Amino acid sequence: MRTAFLCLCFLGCAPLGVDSATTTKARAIAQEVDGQRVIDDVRTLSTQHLDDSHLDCAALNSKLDSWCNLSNSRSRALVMARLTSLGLQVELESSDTHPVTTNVVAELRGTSKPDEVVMIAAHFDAFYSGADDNSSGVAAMLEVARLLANRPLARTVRFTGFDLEEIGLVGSTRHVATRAHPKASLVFDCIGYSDTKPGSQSSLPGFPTPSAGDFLAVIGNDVSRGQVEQLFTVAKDQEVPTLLSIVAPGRGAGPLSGNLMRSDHAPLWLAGESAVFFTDTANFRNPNYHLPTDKADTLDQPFLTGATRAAAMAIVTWGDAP
Amino acid sequence: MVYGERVLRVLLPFVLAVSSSAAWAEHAIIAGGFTATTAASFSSSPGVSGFYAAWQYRTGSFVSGLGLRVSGASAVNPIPLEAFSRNGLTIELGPYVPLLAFELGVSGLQGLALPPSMRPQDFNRAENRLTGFFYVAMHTEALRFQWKRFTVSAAGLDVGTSLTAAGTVLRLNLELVSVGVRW
Repeated sequence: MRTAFLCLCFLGCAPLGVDSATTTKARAIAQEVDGQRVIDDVRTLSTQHLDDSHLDCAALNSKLDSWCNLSNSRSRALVMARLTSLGLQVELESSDTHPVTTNVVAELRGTSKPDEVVMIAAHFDAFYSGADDNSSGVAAMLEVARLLANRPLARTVRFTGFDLEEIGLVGSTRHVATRAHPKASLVFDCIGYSDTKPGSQSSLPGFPTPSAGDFLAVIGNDVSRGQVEQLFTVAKDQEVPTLLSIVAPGRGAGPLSGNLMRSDHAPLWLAGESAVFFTDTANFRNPNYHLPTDKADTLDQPFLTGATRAAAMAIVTWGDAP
Repeated sequence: MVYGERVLRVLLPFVLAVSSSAAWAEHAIIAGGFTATTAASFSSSPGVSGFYAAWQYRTGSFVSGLGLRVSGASAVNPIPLEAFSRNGLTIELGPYVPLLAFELGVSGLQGLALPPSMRPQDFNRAENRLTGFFYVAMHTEALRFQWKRFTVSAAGLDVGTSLTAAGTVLRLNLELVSVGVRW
């Protein structure tokens, strides 16, 4: 696999460097990603979503079938149990405002800059079995947590499972409203589906993309441009999917960039903070999006493994770089 | 002919038109109707319509003014007023007097509509907080004409943004038709 860098940039900015020690460390840790473990976690999460109770869609004033097949309880419990088993102090971040949300937050304290936080996050609620959306993202976050649990970085790493992304970015908006904002954030939503056939990829309106849906979109705002560039520096020639970067101008938020804001990085962008979003572009590629057919068997394991490697490289780089 | 001379020749009619009228001044009172909308990533205003009135002072090609827009009160916009100042340029080509201006204002018309009450509104509320009260806009009147003591303008357009988070919340304001009296 190769790394390509297509950057739709609007404002100039000097790239942030990455020292060789950080690069070497990030690449070495990324090589330890266990692809089998990641896909197994996707299967487990998907099964648990199917077995879980569903949210009361009538209380959410929706008659959409998908909203009546939304679950979050067992996946939340799994995230909490897994992070706890890694020795991390796990906190449940609850809000009683309708609809009730409970995010899962765990922090790995930094060694030399503990007050600076780098966040890695994925939403754990899902429609139906939700393999790509978003068990793939949750599994990648758990794998990065496993790799880092016994080797803290210079900065604190915050692992966050967001609740109720699917019905309006609810958990992440509440998290951003109540917590200190991270120095850098990486958010996953749908990172496991790939298709190499020409024509398999639809373009995000206003953002031309390749015809084949075999790239991982790395979507940043101007605030996170430096972190996107650091990732591309470290991921060059590594075993990761083709990376396609889109950097939205300014905060990134606005009526013209709505299609770039459809996940939990959006509240951070709205607050003018740095956040990078990994995605396979969801419904612009995956025909199973928000359908009962979004199952683990439809995912591309090497693609998901590579996306997890890229994530590990990003977090180690942002967490350790001077 | 060097490139600079070509540029000057192209610009000459505009320069003459601007400078030839620089020796006099006039006032005008203008009134008209407008419709406006404000949009963020996932929210937009329900759309507001109303009336506006403005005072304009023109000296030569330079135009300054103050104005007030009024709409109906709603839950989204409980104080449906907007005050603005404009500074810009016009050019007189016979009866045709287009206007390009920079508008700065304070607005109570930029509220965003929230989704139905049972739906989660957290993100929309966060967007709404960014609308703020102050805005900046570019104002164009490409269909503006004068005849004797009167001016008529149609489809004047403001494109602007809230100053609380420039670029995040955009506003469009269409001045449907306005008429003015000069003295």
